[in-house]
Amino acid sequence: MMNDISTKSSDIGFKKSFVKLFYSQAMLLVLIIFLVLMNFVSDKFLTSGNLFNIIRQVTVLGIMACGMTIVVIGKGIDLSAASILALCAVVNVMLQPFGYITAISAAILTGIICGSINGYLIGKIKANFIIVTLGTQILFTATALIMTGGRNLKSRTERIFSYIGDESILGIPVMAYILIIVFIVFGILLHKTAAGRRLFATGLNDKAAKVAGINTSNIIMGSYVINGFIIAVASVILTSRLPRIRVGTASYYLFDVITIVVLGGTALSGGVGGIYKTAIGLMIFAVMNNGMMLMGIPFEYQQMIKGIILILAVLYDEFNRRKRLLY
Amino acid sequence: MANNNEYLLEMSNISKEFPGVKALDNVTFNLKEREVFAIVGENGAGKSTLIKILSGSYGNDFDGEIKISGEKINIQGPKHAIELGISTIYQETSLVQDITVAENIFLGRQPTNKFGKINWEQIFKYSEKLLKDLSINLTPHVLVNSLSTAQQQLVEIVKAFSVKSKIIIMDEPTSSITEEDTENLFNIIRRIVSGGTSIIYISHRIKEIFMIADKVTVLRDGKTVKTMEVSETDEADIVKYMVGRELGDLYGEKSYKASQKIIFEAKNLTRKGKFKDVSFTLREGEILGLSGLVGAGRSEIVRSIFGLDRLDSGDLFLYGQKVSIKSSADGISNGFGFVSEDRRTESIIQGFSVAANITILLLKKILSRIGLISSKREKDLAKRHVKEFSIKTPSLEQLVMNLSGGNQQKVALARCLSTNPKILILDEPTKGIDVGAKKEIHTLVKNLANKGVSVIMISSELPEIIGMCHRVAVIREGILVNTFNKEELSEEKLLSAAVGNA
Amino acid sequence: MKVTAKKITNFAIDKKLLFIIIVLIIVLSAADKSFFTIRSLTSILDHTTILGIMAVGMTILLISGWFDLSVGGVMAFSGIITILLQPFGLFISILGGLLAGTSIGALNGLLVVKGKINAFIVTLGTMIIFRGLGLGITKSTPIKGTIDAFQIIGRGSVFGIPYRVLLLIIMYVAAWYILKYTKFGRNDYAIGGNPLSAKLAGINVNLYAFLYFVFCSFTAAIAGIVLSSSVNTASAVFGSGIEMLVIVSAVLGGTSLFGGKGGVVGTIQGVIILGIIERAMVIFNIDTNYQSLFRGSIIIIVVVTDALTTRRQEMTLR
Repeated sequence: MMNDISTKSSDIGFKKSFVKLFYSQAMLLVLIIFLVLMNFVSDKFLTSGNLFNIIRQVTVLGIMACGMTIVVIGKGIDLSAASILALCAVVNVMLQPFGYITAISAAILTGIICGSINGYLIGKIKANFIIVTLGTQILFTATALIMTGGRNLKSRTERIFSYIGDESILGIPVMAYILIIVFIVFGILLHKTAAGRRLFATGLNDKAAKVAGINTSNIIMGSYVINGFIIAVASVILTSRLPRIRVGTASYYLFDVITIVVLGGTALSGGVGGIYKTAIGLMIFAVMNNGMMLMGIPFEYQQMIKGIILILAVLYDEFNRRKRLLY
Repeated sequence: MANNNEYLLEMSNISKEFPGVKALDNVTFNLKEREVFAIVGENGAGKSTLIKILSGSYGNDFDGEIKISGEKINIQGPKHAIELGISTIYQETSLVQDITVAENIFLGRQPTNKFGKINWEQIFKYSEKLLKDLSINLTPHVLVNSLSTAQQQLVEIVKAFSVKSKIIIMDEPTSSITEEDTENLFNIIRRIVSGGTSIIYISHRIKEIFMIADKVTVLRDGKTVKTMEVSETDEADIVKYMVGRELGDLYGEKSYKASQKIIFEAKNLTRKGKFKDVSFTLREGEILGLSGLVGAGRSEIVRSIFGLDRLDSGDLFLYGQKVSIKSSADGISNGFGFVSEDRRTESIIQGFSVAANITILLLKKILSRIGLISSKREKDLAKRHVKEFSIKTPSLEQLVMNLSGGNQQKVALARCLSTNPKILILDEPTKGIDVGAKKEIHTLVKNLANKGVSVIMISSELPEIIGMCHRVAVIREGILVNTFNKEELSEEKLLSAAVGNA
Repeated sequence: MKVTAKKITNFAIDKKLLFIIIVLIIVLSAADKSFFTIRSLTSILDHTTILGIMAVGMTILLISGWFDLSVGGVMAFSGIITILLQPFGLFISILGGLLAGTSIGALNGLLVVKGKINAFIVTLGTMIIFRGLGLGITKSTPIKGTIDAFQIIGRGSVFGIPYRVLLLIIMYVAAWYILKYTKFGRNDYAIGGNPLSAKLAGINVNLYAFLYFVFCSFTAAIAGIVLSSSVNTASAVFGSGIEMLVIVSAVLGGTSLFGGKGGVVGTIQGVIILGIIERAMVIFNIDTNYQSLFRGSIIIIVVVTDALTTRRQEMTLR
């Protein structure tokens, strides 16, 4: 005797339990409320100039958040993300004299190497991911500092970078296209490939994943390597935006990226969440960020507010997680 | 104060139900002062539930009454139980490893002077005295992490004794210690008992009961079968009471025989500390049972075969060819399927949907041409399995954590069978499942065997293993002691072999 | 000859940290004569005072099995509040600074113990919040103190020993006493070693855990006040990144990140070792970026070693 199986056309990879559904709908609601509020706060808000500005501000963060989402779903976190970003940007800038292809390839390679270091220590050696990435953060930052000697470096010396940074196609900034492409590509990678499914399994329950024949150490290592690659992509955008690169420019990015991921609904405890959720988190964050700027809130207070929001988001996530376990 | 009541502890009409199963049914248990009372019973007879109730783990959540020295008590929690004078020593140690023996004994109740300064001299002096009184050969100054399991156990006893416990419950105390240590343990027990404490002693080793206990109660299916003076009975008697039930016709006729073709052979499988020199063969379409006590090593054996845990030495042969299985992926690709004993955490992924769980082993099959997961194929595959296994779920996207235990097990089975394994390993497949679902799973397994799939089944339910299997191997303390054919099977034989009488 | 070699090896194994300190001093003095001067050695102690004071509280928290990443922020924030309150008098200002810093610890404790949120997230969050708050209050510029007498704490000395070093010594002795002779200290080991056991033994795990968080921030607040006092300035960026060094000196000293063991005796040695290394890097003119590299590597090595060598008990309450 079998109950009728409803045939929802929705993608099974999204794991719809009604609690999670509630959360992402709630976040969508929050986003809409924010948009309306911001409109009242400043009539500059809904101008296309401002909106594109928002996009430009958060492209780097958004791309990094994609990578971070992947790592977090595997029940980890990469605290060295901002320093990988810095290192890739430095490599890029320093090799620009050799042509943009060399520069960008080198940056990508750097990202992959950094990700592999993290991935190896965490995935294969199984050291604690918090401490490892804290340590590699220091290492990567130091390496970047050594390479630049602490100086400011001129970036954007090749045409392609100013193209990415300033130009628009069909009225929409080039980097917006890149952002969307990254989201789509990695969204598909995460939700629609076998490897992505295995990552979710590993993050949810690595014991069961092992029983199911999944090579969990490889999967986890892979998540960090991909993150490294994605951060390298973000670094290209960064060098395209800023006229000068200095190590330390992006040191607070890490915190923002984590906030975006958590806001979107990807749980830090692993196994739950997704790129599309992170997209929503990104939008909320972007609006918030921009709103605070338009309201003229000083930078330091902005950080403080973001800190509070992060804690609240984590609290909410914890609360939901407990609810999910109460059966 | 005179104790009018002759009993130190009276547990009357204790019942406890879990969803689908009645763990204890009107159990009565009375303990006198200075008594060593043994409780025996098969796996699932209700012993651990009884201990948990007495040690406060279930609080008020049971029916019945408990009295200590004639007064009704209401155990609110584990801490409260200790305050009431009931200490429990489990198989897993509960000492703080990195501090001294003495400090563990006085954990949380260090003597201080009026300024709050801890009086270490007193702590060490008292500990030394306690150890000496009980003739335990340990110095209070050593760190607990340098002691053997047996010695740590003794420290727990001293701890329980020092908080003036009237009742000390010991759960399988000898399962991880040597014979010599056991002898030592018994001497200490005798000393404690003469000092006024009573002991409730749970063990599978029936021989030991005759060495240390005064009285024994046999539990079976949650009921008290018989309570006797140890002096008035013998081992065979006890085993008889442990199993004596009508087998009933839960399993129906097996109208088929397994073929004679041997498809799998295990030779001299050894894993240090877990099992040694285990060898057996498996035929096509055969259901081979692995019987034995909990902790005998059955799960460890099959997990090593499947590749989840390592194998120190020994060979595996499939269809006569030697195979090397170093990971679960190897196990799966060699045609094994595995359903773990710990179904909830190991065989299914709670946070995944039914469909995702079923298809996780077959991700290659649900890919579209470009290599991406096709939700149509995923749904189709899942639907097929849900139908085949009669899994009750409101939808394919339902998270498995919301299904009942029986249906979760079916999902685990469906997933495991999705790769069409030639050899299915089932570790306690029907543990904690309601009768209806149990029957379904049994029918399923038998049908599979009929179709030529071989099954290795671990079960602690003797009727189940007798009803389902063509042959049963008994594992005792890591060694395969005997193998019985269907015709020779009886619960008594199995249990005797498992506990070591045969 | 053989006997001395054996004796030395035993000493090296037994008192590893002391051995390392002695070896370091010998080697570095041989490499550079200016190392072994009084000035050099006292400067080591001086520079490590702040780190050392914070490490006391962190050690006690680590033993219970938790950690606190906000200590740097607490330190800076306490200094800021102290300087801000100086118009109300020295006593009030110091009290205010202590209170401010300690209450951050209370917040941490509440969120981790009662809210059951991961200590990492909570203390990371409070660090960011209070640094941000500090930046906002001071408008990102260091603020100068107005009471000269304030500097006595940080700069003054008696019989050639700086007050702050005395303070450090007192705190270590006090902490040693607490960990050895009080329930507050002994229960720390129990909670860190086997929280379930501790609970069953009647120890109020939640209360103690909360207090340990408070204590950790308390020492960070003291450190902040001492630092601000020594330069009569408070800045929101004081102590950026110091939290890792504080944790590392404790772990180096034998206090495991997993809780249940360790002590302040080891911590002070860890602090001294780190101080010697820092001093050595300065004397040998090592580029600041390489210094960072080196520091990062030490962190990783120390922590990985701790992970590999510590047996973890299965039971977890947190």
